[in-house]
Amino acid sequence: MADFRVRLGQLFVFGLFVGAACQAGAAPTKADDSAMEMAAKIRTELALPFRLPDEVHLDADLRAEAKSIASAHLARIQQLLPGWIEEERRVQRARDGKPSDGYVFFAVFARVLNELALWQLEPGDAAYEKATLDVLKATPAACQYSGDSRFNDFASRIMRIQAMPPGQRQAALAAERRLLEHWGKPRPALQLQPWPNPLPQDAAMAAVEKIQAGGERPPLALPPDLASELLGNGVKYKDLPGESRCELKRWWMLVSLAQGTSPEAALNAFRYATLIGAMDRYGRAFESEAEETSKEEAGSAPRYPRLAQRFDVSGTTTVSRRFDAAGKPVEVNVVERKITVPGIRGVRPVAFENTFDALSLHQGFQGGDAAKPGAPLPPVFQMVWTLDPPKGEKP
Amino acid sequence: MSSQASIAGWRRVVLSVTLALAASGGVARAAEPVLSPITVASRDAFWAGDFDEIERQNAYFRQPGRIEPSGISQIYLFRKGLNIVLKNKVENAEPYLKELDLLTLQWANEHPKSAFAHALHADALLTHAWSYRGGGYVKDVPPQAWKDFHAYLRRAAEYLNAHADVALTDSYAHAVLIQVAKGMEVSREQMKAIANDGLKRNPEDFGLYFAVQETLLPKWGGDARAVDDYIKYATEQTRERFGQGMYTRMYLNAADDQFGHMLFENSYADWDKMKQGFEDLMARYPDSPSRLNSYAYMACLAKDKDTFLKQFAKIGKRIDRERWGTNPERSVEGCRRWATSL
Repeated sequence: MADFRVRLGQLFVFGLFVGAACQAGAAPTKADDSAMEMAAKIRTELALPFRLPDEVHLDADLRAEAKSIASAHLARIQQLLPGWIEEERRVQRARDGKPSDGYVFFAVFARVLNELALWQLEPGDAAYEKATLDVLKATPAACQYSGDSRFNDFASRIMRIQAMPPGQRQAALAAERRLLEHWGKPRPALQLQPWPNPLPQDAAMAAVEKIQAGGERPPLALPPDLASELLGNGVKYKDLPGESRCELKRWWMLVSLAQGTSPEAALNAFRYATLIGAMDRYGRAFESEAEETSKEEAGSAPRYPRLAQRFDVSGTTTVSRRFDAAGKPVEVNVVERKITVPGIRGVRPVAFENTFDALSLHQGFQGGDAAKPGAPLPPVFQMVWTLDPPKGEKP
Repeated sequence: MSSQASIAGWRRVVLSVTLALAASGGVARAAEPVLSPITVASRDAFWAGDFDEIERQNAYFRQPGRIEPSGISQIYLFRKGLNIVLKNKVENAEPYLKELDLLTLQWANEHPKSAFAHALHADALLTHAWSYRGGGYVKDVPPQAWKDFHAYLRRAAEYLNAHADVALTDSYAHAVLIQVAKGMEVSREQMKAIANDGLKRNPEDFGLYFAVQETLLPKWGGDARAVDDYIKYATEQTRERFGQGMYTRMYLNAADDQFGHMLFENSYADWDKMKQGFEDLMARYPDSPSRLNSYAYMACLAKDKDTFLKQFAKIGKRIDRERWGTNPERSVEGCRRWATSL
């Protein structure tokens, strides 16, 4: 079992995108002012996933109606934020005696990011689900440009509605309103399916490798843009542009359906595959690509992701792997995630559940326990991610 | 020749050819610097794998009267977008082309009554064939490439033959078939018969004339006389719409593809007829700065100083390098110097 610990003290090093929160923590302001400042910062960030960029092709009436839905939703959440901030203060006061503004900010922001993630995964009513699946099956327009891929949550949903037959649009918009109304409320009926294993993008890339090797191929051909990038130019998944990534996941959804996967399972897998989690949105704000690459050097122990430090994300990931004849790992998957994040209670912290995926996979391919060189590699192992200091060490 | 007879004719030809090739290769034409929105739309839809959308576009642009203000048919611009995807340059062409073969076959199987789907699959096989051969001279073709070239040409021909009843209801299939036939030992008359059959399906698919004309060029085993005869024939067939315009357009094409700056020396191009063709085109389709450039360039080649000066003055700053042959900067400069000399 691998155990990666980071000193608790690092959690209090601020200074990235949370300028407003930093100032609130640094300056001796009143609690109300501080809460207003936090709420304002969160509201600004939350507005990003609800933007409908002008470049996104939408019918004028659909754009107007969608904007109205987004505005009403943001206004409602804005009213909820002071209560969420106060709730978090109470939780922290009960736990630590005195709440830290920085800590409160991240906890409330984590809650907002998780609401975004739950919203992305939550199915609508039967008609909405069918219409959504029909659009995804029928047209690649669902993956066309819909703004910055870190923040195109709402735009991509409205793009799908744009691609629906006009007669279905009003019902779909009504379903969108109902789904947004679930924000901030208990979701007792929401039974989220587990993460697909393997993730659609990983399964799709494995299929692409088989095509390249001349092995058994899936029943559907790749569209030309993906064939060009993946087969013609050998581009890796991580280097694909956002639209192409979406197309690859859509292609795999079609392949899954052709192979007999149920529509519900295929749509669920697509939603997980296209989920914009906290790392997708803000990972780069905390950690540059160069820093991320440096921690992937062979043999080095993984460094706790900075975003995870800031949000105090901890938990375990269970990793499974398959070996070749020489005992080298050739396929690695994260098969279970048990994650906790301050501020997220009563629901799965889906926005953060894949926070440690990249490092877990990296570790899975690395192999061995440095303390036992030459020992056979375990096919399944667990990684514990904690910010608590080891016993006997001061934070 | 009736439509049925002409189809039967090409079938016999395609299936019985000895697959010997014309003596020499061609040279790829330079792409236009700015793509038409029609080309962009078809390219993007095909690129993303949106068959329904490209089929919708095909159905729209093959309707009568879909002609650009410049006189170019919209179906030509549409197919140009498809061609960009088919001829996309990648580091490793074989798996890309194989995937296109599979994708287009999948679409054709899903839409068995779609002539366009069948023609597109044949076009993918055709593109695959020519990727082995390349567009260069015979001496530049790797010896091992001929076998694959022939095999894919045969596949394209056999596929169209097997789906002829559906595929040949869209003149796109005829355009593909002419390119297949270009790689095979098909007679000029049969080539023309294929085009004529396509033109019965879509009289405004003017690209078929140009496709046949290309196969008659000396570099593809033809000769200047055959080119001239066919250009005159096509001009008469299209006189109602273009006047003498087709004569001009086809000789411009011949200059681009073969004769270059020596058009009037090495072909039977007649400047008076070309000039009339320019006038007819300008009267019908005045919105074409690129044609003004062609007019001036041809006037220069024909040593018609008055016409050159008149057209060159109209161009002003709208010099279109694509219309001045190879080495266009020197071409423009030389023509201007000649025209202003005593």
